[in-house]
Amino acid sequence: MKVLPLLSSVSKWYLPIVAVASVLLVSSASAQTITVNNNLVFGDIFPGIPKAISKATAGYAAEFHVDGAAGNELTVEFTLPRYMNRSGYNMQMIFGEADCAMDSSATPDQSNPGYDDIDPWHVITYGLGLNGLTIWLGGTVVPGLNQMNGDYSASIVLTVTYTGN
Amino acid sequence: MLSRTVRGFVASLLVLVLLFSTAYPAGSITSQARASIMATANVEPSLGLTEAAVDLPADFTLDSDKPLYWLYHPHLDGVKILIEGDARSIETVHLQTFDLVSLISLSPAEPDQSVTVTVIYTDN
Repeated sequence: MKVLPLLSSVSKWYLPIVAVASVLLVSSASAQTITVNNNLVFGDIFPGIPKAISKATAGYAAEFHVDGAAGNELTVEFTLPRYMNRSGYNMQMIFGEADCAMDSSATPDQSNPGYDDIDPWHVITYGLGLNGLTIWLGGTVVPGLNQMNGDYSASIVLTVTYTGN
Repeated sequence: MLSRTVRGFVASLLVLVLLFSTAYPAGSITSQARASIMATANVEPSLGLTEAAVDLPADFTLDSDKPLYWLYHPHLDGVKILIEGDARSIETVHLQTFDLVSLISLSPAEPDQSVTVTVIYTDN
């Protein structure tokens, strides 16, 4: 019977603690954000001449940064275009099996990333570091011999999902 | 007193279970973020794939920083460059890494003489 008063007093502070702890759990699981640091820029190209942008080329390769709870595992999935477009005209794009790289270290190094030569066509599982995760993507564009001149573009979508591990 | 305490405790547990299940629903993703970027390219007008020529003004000298004329072809092994006129020198014909040919130094023999550079592609 001496337990009952104890329970009664505990319940007064237990509920707020439970609520706060639960909110913290929710916020830590949903705090991941993706920042786009750089588009995939091919620049000027010429008809009939393919042009490749290496994932290690700063300022031209696509660069994403993922923030979130360090140590959590996540999956990275690209939705990649096969063509660039310009008002009815298409231009072929190629993403190779080694066109992606990642680095979760405190000082991400695009020229020597921690996880290199990744296939962007497959779902990638990786862990977040203290400084999040930086992702780079290169690619190749293949203009035809009679490719219409002008500005072409395509959209690349990155989806990052916590695995819960 | 007993029932109120128990109800409070049970309510606390229910809140915990509810919020925890919201954060980590069984068998489903816990959190997802998505971002989109653009891939961009500018296709330059074609200069033709069989022959191209440029007339150099008499007092013009090409330099490496500002090549006068850039040519391109997927098969650089077959590129021939012909000089029509009395060219004093062609210091360098440079093959760029992007499969471009640039003439980086050329000047006419006489100050009032112009030079025509013709680039002919072959299939070999």
